[in-house]
Amino acid sequence: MSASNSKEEHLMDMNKKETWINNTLYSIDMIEQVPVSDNLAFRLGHIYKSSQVVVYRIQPKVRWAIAAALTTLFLINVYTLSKTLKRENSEKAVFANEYFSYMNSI
Amino acid sequence: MSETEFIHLLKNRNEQAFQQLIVEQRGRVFNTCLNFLQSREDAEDVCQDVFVEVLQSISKFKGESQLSTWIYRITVTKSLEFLRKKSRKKRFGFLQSLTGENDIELNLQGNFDHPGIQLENKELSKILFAAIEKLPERQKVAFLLNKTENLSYSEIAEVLEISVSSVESLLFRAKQGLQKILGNYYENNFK
Repeated sequence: MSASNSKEEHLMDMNKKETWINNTLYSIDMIEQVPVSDNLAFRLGHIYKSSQVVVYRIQPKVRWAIAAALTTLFLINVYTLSKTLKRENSEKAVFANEYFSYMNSI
Repeated sequence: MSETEFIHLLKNRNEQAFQQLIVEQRGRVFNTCLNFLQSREDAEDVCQDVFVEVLQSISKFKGESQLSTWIYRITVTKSLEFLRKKSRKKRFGFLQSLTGENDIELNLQGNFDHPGIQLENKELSKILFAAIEKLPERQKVAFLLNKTENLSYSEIAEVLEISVSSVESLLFRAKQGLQKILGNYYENNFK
């Protein structure tokens, strides 16, 4: 008795599942056509005119090359600046050393 | 005016002919994009790209298929390109590549803004479109063109440049795949 009951329940579950799947699949048939908005119609209407304007597009390769060149230039600047600052600091230290050793000797 | 004459005018970059083409085809192109992308904003952008492409490549059109079929082909290609770019951005790494074709979890998080779907069908349609997203690309295209654009098998075959029997097979596998994905989804969410 209980075995046949569970079989029936299983069948009912399967039917529910099948119905749900079919309803979900069927929902695609209910899609309605959407009219084109005024905004899109305006944009499309201007494609021809804007295509007459010559646009020079920079290729991605060139763009990357420019970016790499600028980055290299920036890094060279930073490197040179830090070198110069270091040299200035060491010159100042030598001068201070000489000055104080002279003062001490006096 | 015959289609050949019309194409000749388009190839000569006749503005009036191009405007006429836009008026005749914009509704179909926009709705196809909408069914692939389920977002009005994205569909409008891609629709514009399609007509820019048409204008740029009309000189390469050989007339081997109908003009509308050729435009469908561009529309499908542009929509798929857009989806690929979008999913590449979303993926950013490897997390989503781990999910398979018949995965139980459906991505229902994305913005679903299809104005052609009535409110009472929105929930089911959202699940269905998420399931369609899980299908292999060709099955998805064949299914959408057949179900939303009502294209015949031979028209789909022309758009995809494959045989009619291949279309039949794609549609059969798409339906089977969808039943499996939806079945898994039902088991995990309604039981």
